[in-house]
Amino acid sequence: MSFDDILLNIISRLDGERYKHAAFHLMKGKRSGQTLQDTEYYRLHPFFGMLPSLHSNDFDLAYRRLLSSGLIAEEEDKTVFLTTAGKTRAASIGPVRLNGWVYRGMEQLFFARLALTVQTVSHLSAGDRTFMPVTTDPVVQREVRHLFATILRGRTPEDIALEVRNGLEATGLGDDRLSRFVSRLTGKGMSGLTWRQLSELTSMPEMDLKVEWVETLHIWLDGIAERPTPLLSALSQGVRAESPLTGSAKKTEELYRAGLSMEEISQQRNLKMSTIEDHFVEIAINDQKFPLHKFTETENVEAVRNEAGRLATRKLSVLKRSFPGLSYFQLRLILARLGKEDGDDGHDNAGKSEQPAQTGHRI
Amino acid sequence: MDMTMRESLNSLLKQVTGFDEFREGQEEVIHSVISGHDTIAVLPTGAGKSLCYQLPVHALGGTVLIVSPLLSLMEDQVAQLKMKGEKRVAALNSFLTPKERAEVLANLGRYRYLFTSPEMLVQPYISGRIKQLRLAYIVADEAHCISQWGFDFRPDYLRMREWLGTLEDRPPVLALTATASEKAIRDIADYLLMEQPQMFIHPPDRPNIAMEIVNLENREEKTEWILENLSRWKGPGIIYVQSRKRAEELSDLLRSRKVRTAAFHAGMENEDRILVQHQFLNGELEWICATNAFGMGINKSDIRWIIHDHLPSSAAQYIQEVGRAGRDGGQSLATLLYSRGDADTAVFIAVDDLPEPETVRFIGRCMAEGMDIVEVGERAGLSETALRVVSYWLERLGTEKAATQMGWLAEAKRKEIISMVHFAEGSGCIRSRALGLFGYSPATRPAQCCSECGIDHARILTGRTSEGNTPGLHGWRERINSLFGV
Ligand SMILES: [Zn+2]
Repeated sequence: MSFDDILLNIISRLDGERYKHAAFHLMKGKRSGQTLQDTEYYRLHPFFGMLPSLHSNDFDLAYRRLLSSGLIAEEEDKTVFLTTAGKTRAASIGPVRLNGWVYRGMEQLFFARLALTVQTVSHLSAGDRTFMPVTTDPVVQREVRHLFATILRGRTPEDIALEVRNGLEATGLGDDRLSRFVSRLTGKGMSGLTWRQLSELTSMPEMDLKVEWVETLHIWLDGIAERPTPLLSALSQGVRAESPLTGSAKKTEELYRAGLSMEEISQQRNLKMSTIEDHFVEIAINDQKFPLHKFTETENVEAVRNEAGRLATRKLSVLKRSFPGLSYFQLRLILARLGKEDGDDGHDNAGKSEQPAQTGHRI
Repeated sequence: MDMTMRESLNSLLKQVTGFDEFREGQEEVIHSVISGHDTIAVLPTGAGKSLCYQLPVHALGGTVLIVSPLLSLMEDQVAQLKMKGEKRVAALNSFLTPKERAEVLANLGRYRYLFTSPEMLVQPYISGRIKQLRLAYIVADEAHCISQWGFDFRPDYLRMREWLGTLEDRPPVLALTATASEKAIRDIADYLLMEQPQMFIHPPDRPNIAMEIVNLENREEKTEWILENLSRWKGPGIIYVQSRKRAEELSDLLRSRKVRTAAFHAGMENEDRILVQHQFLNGELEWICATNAFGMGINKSDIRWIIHDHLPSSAAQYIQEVGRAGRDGGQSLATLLYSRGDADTAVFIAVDDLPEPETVRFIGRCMAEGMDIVEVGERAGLSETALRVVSYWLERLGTEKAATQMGWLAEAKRKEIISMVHFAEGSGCIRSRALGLFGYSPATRPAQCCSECGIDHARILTGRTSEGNTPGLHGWRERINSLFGV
């Protein structure tokens, strides 16, 4: 997917409510309240922090290309929206497989470790112990040295090459794309290509190559997390953002953030819908920005809050009687968030809990 | 030096390195350090500087403290010593994790070579621990960086002076550098509190590098000249240019003529810069078009040709860049492309980065009002380096004197460029003119001396034959297999 398509995709999700800067900060992974809220509200998780070193020049160029080709337009107040042509184009773009929210630029650390490991094996297997390391970061150098003293001890180059090859094979990505990906790796007598060189060789714009590279890393890392192998999981140590969720709910959350619907997650993970619902309740409990409004009307949330307060109950069966139009799943989600709010705000809670005692409607 | 001394130095050399003979200039420096003198050694690049600080400690015992202003260079030297099998070596710098740092500090007395940075040195705890060591001598590496007159001035390095001042029984200090003007040498002796230092100053003369100045009208003529000559003769070589834009422009043009070239400048991603260095070392690239960001720490011995597309801002910088050619001793060439407009550009760029006295006063006022230094720098529009320089002098001299100091500095830079203009526009042997910038004259005149004495390109460079095709992308499985050598 090209950089321009990514930008178009983001703008289509922003729904005519934001300025172009929102997309720029999102791609750079700015940790500001506004960007985080936007990410949550417009479901932009795949793109969050996908290009931490994105230059505003490159961004502006792409933005202007979209403007001048009539795919996007700006309102008088500069908010940006998709034109009809833009909508048609956006609908024809394939699925995004970026997973920015989870990696947030840390995929580059994985690549730096991989590149230095490959270079080291390459030189050592040629009997060459002195070489200029391809990464100057002393922390990465130390980590890789440690790998050679531990999990790589005694492993042959053939063996390591096989693990890397199988890992890439398992991504299911096309050969051309993987060729572009590995062309950035360096070894004895064969250096990696710069973006400029790769661009001249493939006639693809540099920005498109960078986006593709990041997405390839995300796809590969997702695969490693699911089917860990010794070297690759060591190299990906610590690159995923920590989450308070349990393993299975975490996976569900990632897929949800990657844009999949509950049904799609259930299918892809081959899990029962009820299990996925359990995961969502867990996510709602742990995530204060959980987009409850996507699952039920805000008025319902208010109504359930009041009724639960009035009846001083959290029993699903009781509330279900008051709200026959809501599913159990919706009620659980609302209650999950209410529970959180109670914990966050003791005073409010204390005041509410007195009410039912006065009215005497205890059950 | 008497015969017994000479013999014992030679056997020390043999025992430690396995070599039979010193290279020119090394023996005197090592002797001076062993005899306990403060020593300044100016040795041309490629003369084997590191042996000068590595050998004496084997005769003296104890620990050598090597203070280095460039972290990457430090890491490089540590790695090289380790590669030679030296186990008693450590670097104490900001890259260490707390655990590693604790480990180095716990074993401090066991190291033969202890590398550190000036910033570390002034931290009270570390300073205290180092003072307890039996220091054989202290080395100031890349000592020209301590001189504010040098193009590489690192204000942090001046902290070393403060630290040296706190030592009660100071061991001898060895200052090492490849290029330093007289003024810089005086600074080094002064800032490192040296007492009657022994000086071993070797003229930066490299007889295997022929020198050439080509007078051209303007940038377009320079471009034509480069394209024509690089189509005729082979590198490997470096073209030093003034700007990023020029680096990109020239490398694009050269690539379109099938000369394997890449640009190198600070605007590129760090990863890409490293890849370009690798390709150049490997011979995958023939030419680099670089701003002066290129060259530090790069160890390619067979560079045949250095071309300057612009007038360097100082003699020391020019000689250092030229000195990257012919480290293997092979015949090489240094070409300066000069046009009359270059002087103005050079002055503008060199002085542009220096704050005016007025700016210094402004910064002084802001800082007195308690404003954040970084914010002040942004308001005044200073580069990070310039800001460090100014804040260092403000702290020590107060606003007025610091402003005066900046005025002098700008004046000195202008003078350096004017002397480069005289060099470029003068007449007579270019090698003599270049050495004259440092107050020397050449000891010998090589057969391929300079374009004034007469040189024959065919005897210096290799003609270009047909160029091989640029390879396409490999299949990814094949590439992985060849990377792993399987
Ligand atoms: Zn001459």
